[in-house]
Amino acid sequence: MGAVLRKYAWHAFAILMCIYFLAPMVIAVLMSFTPSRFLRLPTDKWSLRWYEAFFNDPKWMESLTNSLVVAGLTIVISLIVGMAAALAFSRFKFKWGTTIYTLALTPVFTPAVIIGMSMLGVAYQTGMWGGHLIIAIAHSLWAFPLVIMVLRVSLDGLDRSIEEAARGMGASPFQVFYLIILPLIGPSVLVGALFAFIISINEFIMALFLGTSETETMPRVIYPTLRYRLTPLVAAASGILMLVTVIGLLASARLMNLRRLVEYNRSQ
Amino acid sequence: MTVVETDLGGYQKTVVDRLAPYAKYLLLSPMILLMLGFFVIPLLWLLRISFYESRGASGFGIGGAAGQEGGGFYVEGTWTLDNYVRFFTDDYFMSVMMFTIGFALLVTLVTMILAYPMAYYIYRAPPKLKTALILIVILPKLSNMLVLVYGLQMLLANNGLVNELIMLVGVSDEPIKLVYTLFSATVSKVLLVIPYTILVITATLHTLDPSLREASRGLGASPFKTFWLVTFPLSVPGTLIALLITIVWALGAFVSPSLLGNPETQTLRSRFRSRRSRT
Amino acid sequence: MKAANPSSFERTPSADVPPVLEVRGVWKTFGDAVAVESVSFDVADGEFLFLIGPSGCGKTTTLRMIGGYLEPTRGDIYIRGRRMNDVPLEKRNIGMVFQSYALFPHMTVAENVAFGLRMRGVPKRERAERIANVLDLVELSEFADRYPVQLSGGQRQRVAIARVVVYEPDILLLDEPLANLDRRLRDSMRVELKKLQEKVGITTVYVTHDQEEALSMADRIAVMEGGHLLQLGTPSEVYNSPKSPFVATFLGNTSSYQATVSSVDGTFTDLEIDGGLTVRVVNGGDLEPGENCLVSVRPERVALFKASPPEDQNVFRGQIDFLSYLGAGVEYIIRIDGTDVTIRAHEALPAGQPSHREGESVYVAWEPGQTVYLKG
Ligand SMILES: Nc1ncnc2c1ncn2[C@@H]1O[C@H](COP(=O)(O)OP(=O)(O)O)[C@@H](O)[C@H]1O
Ligand SMILES: [Mg+2]
Repeated sequence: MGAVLRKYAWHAFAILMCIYFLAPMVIAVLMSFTPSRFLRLPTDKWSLRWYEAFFNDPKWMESLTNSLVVAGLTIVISLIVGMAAALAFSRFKFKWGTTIYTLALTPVFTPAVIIGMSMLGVAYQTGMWGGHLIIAIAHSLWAFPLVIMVLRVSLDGLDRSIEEAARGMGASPFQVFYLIILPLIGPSVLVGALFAFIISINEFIMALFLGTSETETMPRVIYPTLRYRLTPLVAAASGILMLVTVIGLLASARLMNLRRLVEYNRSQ
Repeated sequence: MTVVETDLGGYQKTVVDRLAPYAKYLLLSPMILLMLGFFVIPLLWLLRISFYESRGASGFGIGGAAGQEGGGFYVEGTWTLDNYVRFFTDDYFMSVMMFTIGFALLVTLVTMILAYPMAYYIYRAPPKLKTALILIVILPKLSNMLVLVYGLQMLLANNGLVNELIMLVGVSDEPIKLVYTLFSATVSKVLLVIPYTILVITATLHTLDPSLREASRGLGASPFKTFWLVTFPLSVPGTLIALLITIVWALGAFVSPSLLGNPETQTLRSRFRSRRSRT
Repeated sequence: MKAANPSSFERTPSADVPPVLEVRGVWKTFGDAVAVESVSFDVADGEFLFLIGPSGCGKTTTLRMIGGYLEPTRGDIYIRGRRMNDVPLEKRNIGMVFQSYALFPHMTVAENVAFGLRMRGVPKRERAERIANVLDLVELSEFADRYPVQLSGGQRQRVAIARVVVYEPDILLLDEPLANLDRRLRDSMRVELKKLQEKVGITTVYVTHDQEEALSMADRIAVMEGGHLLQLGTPSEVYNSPKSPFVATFLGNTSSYQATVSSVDGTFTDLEIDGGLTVRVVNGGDLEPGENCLVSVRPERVALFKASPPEDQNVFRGQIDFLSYLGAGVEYIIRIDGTDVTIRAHEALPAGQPSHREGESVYVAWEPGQTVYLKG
């Protein structure tokens, strides 16, 4: 009897945790469908009026464009950096391999304030402050370690002799990369790009430190309105971010077995 | 041996051949450049700033850099511990710091208590469920934290779902004030911190040899004994790393909204402050 | 064992045609561990050379050095007289068949076969023709548009060979190509591979730990152990005249014994082995009384008699300790009476039933000339 109870308690705990993780997001999104002028849950009627308002507001649209430009740059930077590093880690032996790998992952575990604040100096000195690029570089610090993780799982799963066979048949290292490796790990590359996109589109503290009103991304516009003017328009903006994030994550899950990210033996 | 005579001459190496031995360093170089230029050096620079003599009246320690444009708040080329001395002797900063650290420890504690069982649940879950759980866990981390905080506020508001539930069950007749309390602050900070903690512990559990668990069960240990005597001790090193990440993140997650003036934590801190009465 | 008498397909390198492959004093070390130690051999044009030895003896390492997948720590490798040490593998014009086949999963059979030709800039028209030819050769013409996952093990194996044969490499390298196949397929692939190699006439180095494969297919066999090349010769040379105890025991079953020379007598020499038994061998003129050596005899050379064994042979009386039924034959282990010495005997089974049973008393007999001895 006790064992059965314990088992139910165990599952109940997991379910409660899932509710804890999901409920705030679900509420935030539901609010955005309210027909009311005030933020409240839509009870009988649903409306897209706030989404309409969002897409008709030039300020919001501009922030959306900025967000997309920054996210695009983030994808490019973190894919180049992450792909090269993942190839190095998975195809070569380093003396301090595990240590370097662990160090490479540290930015992702570093809070955004610290990254944003410390990058101010470089941003000023290089004259990049306020531009899309410097925000994208900051976001890449969070994104490229994830790209490395995703690609490494994939690369280590490839049969090495396939690449050797290609070399042996006359392919140069570059040909091996784009004729063999790239097509085979394509889905993971897409997953890496999606992660980079999701991170960049949602991040706002680094964007706050490093951007100006010209390069205001969506979360930056949400922030003050959230503090002073809680309108359903903000909910619509949040809803759009959530939608993009959830779709991106589900697409990633389809493209790649995300389980492998935690099941993969990091100490190998 | 006729070998030497038949040798048709050496092979002319191409540029690629010459670079090949350095390939692994070339591949790492973009990452090293990015890390050095935009992560390590800036962090050191931040540290260096904190040792400059301050010029303005209100440059506060480390944070002084944030408002600086064209070297307004500090005097270059100077070395001083002034900022630190002032920081540690100023009641206001000390109260902020004590509060920050205390709160971060609370968040860390709650996070670890919730994260380990959840990680273990994910570890033991069947494949499909495991993928779903990983997606759910990672969602708050990848989402916009403002959306998260505001969703929580709506949930915990006086007319929010949680209070409606409380009244429905009959725990209380009128709504309990949940927003702007230590409770709601903890709930939102833990949610911001916990995803990486869970994922790191889950990954740690997966590095353990599953046959150890089977062997333990085979030798007659109960599931609980097996967990306590085999799985848990082996997962301690990885869990400590998760703990470290959690502390860093708890401090950071706290610092960010408070620096930026998240209404919730501001209120909390001001209450805390008024109790200690500032000079 | 028919393989013991390879007659038709024996070929030794002729002196006037320069070897296609020359391996000269090659070493390979991994850290402190020596994987290959001072290995030298030549492979003639069109020759089918086998590298054979137990697992971990350095066969794969040697093969990978020839292919350019590993760099020799010391020593040189020449292909058609050209020193290969610095040449990157994609420029060596070698065909390597991997144990896992390493087919490109995202390409069809035809695309896999086309790969090497594309890398060599062969024009599309000619490519199509050569692909068709080679697929015809390996009897996979209907499978040109399939993906590797849609093929059986044996078919994948043939694609792996076709895609390297198609660009006419100087040397074909195969690393245990049949190890992943089931027994029946392995036997038929053995025949097909041998036929294909003869048809294409390509110089081939083949790695295996399976002595039957080596004995049945090789022009010459190189036996390796612990990183050393122990003996290189035709199948019958290494099988019938092993130059070291290891070669004697590794290739085929054998019963071998430590022995001391007791008397030398014209053509025959008597040796005393462990249990005080005397074994007679044909003296090659190099044995002196008191010398130590190893004697061995192949099970298929040992005959069993219920009574009246032949006179002028090595004859002992013993009891059958153990019998293993092998389908086409049976192997007995006989303990010689009054000793702990055991000897193996192989009997072909034309009639289907073993002639003896366990526990039976028998005479074992073999001719002195069938006894192999190795000094030292
Ligand atoms: N990359 C390597 N690093 C370290 N040792 C190796 C490596 N490759 C092979 N070896 C060692 O070299 C020896 C020969 O290996 P190998 O050539 O693969 O043997 P075989 O193919 O005959 O089974 C083995 O002891 C093996 O452990
Ligand atoms: Mg091998």
